[in-house]
Amino acid sequence: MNTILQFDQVCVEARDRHRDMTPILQSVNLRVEMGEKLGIVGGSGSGKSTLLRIAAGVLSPGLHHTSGKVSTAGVNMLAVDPKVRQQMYGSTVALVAQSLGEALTSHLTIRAHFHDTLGHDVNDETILSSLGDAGLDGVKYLQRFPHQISGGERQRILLALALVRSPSLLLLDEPTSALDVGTAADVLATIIKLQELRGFALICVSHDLGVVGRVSDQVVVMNRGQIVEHGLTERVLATPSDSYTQSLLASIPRLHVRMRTPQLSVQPPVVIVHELTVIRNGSTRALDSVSLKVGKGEVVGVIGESGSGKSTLLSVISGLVSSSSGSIHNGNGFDLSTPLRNRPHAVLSEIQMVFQNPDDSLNPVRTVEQSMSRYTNANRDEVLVALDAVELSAQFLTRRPSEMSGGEKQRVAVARALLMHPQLLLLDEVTSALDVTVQASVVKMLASLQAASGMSMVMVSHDIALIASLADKLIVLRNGKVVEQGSVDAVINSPIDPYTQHLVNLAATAIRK
Amino acid sequence: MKNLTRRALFTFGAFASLAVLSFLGIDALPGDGCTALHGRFATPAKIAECREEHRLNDSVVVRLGNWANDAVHGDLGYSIKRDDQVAQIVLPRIRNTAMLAVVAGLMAFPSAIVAGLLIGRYPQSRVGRIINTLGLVAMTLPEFVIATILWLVFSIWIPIFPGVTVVPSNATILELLPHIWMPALTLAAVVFAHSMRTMKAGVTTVKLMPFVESARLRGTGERVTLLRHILPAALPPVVNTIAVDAAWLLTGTFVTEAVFNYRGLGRLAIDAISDRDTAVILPIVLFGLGVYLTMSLIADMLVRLLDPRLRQRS
Repeated sequence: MNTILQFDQVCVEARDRHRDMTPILQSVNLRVEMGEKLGIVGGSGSGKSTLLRIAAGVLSPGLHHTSGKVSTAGVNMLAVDPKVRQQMYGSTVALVAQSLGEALTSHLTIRAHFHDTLGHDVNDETILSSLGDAGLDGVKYLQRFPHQISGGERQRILLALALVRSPSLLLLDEPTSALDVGTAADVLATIIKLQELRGFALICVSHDLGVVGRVSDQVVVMNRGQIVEHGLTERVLATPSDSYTQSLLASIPRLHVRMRTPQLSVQPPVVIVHELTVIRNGSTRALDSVSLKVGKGEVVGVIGESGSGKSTLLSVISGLVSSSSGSIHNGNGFDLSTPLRNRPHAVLSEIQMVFQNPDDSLNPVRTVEQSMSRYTNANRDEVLVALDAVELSAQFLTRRPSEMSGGEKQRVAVARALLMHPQLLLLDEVTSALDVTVQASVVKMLASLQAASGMSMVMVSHDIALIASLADKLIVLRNGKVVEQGSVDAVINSPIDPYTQHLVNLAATAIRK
Repeated sequence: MKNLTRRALFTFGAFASLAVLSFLGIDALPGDGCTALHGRFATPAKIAECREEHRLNDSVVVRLGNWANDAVHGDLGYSIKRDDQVAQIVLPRIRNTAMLAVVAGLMAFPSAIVAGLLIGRYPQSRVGRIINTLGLVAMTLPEFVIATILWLVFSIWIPIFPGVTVVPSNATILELLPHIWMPALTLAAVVFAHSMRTMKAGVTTVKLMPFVESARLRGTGERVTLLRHILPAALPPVVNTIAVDAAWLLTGTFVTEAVFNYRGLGRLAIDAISDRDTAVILPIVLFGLGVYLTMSLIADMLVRLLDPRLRQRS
């Protein structure tokens, strides 16, 4: 077989302002044959993206190649003239970088993107057939700008653009991380189909073993800049030999594995939402007649794809967004549609919210203690109790966000909410920015926290398996409407609504095992 | 489109209300056309007679109404001091300043965009660093210092341009043209660095964005990437900088015009203020107002053209 990509003892380091060096890739050896499908998994900071990018001869700013050789289609990528490398892009090797819709140029139409890649004499038929292969039919796309199409369509267009000049190696960095579960599954199916059709070698990087399991024959597991396991995908997923791979697999939330026992008894409510409607931008119904009750000590999971209104629901309960019609009350009958500034302090403190990304919710210049005591007037002892509840020690008091990992930062965000002794904790995708292994530990912490405090929680996520592992009750939202609502076991085992069935099926088949 | 109409209406409303404010403000200044005419030879009787003749004793509201009515019909009023129609005095000066601004703008803005684009893309280039430094120096130096340097170089050492304008304010464009280069070069030197550095900063940010890397990794050529992907994304802030600078070129050239004795609006404004010729000051103030409002309106429209996401919302 012909080798399309070879890594020999490749080392890459990151250098910061103080010339301190951190190894990113440590003596990586890798060989990929023509037509092979390779998946690379690992947590953030494992070096998986660096490895993928260096295969195209690209190093992010701040990274330095210190030794070893990368040869792609026989070309020494890190030593060759940049002009030669530029010639290879699109024709020999193509890289679709991870992006949240920023990989297309916002002021150019889709047709213009193809023209810039292929030259202006290319006709529309060529473009249309390329789009068709990527699962997009219709002349309508040609005239559109990137913001006029959905995330899944954008990812397909990026695939079509990468493959239009038939490269022999396609590099994909997190091709589905920005997409909803359903869309992601469709895009993956297209990638598999295209690979079978064209026979290019494929390297797909993801933090998600499910994604990698679906598209690859071979899988590489990375941890701290090293390849810790490399083998047939089926074998690695079924019988992982490395301890990191084992913990990675064990951390994936499974549909039928519970972190706590669902409570089914009826408790007095802490929040009652009745026929709530929220209208945004004049006419869009972000929420459409949503009713739900959260009982004392109950954990309610809200599932839905982006745009389903699940985050809006939390914003309304917390008071950040006002409703257009319907009612919302707390357990004592207080009207929660009252604007935040008019609410009494006791009502304000009983509902607390934790946001998706701790980097946005923690001030980067403040220490943990400053962040936590600033607006809560909590003294050090109270802060320590709250930190203890999220399993962080006293040494975190003086740390700043830059000195903590993603999981630690999110724990601090939860601890800050706990300082107010809330009755209801609102959790908005709190684990989606975290690695799978870290996510598992945070979920476990939340479960024990709930058991210890008897707090109610409303938890929003796009991951049905994750949310089922914690919740007593599930609510499925779609286009602002509740399509299904019931106890965890009822929804997971016998979903009634077709959309819920679809979600459950996707989750059940996510990992080939 | 609806947004744009609203924006244009707002601009007009702002102009009208600011015009009224300007009229009242200038009216509140001590002195009027009659005191200006008689100067230190004024006697109470002469002034009273003059005020009676020019109907300056009417209430301010009546005079504002009359002035506005005349202005809408193309009559900008009458300068008692200069004994001439204000339009006759102001319009040729506007033409001269506009010509100067256009020439200076053509010298400065296109070259600033090109230089900023290239310096932002290739920050290591030596020529780029020299241009960047020169631009910064020109931006920090006062206009009269730049003017003096240019004089020394182009009028004395290499005498290719006349140092002082010696043509009357109503000279034809052809007569004026030889005298325009030196003041235009001075003004261009002052504004060049603003837009060049905005452009450079834009390119420095944009060139690291995911869509630029993505274009390159698809095999898009270097020139196409620079001109079609980086340039339009980096332009919006530059458009705003240029709009402000262009408005300044039309209204803020007092010093340069005085140094070169160029018969533009700036010279006229200084003269009119020093002899309190309120009838002449008012249209100059309004012209400045109109220029700033129009420039920001044009800039908004251009930015909208550059970004389809904004276009859709309008």
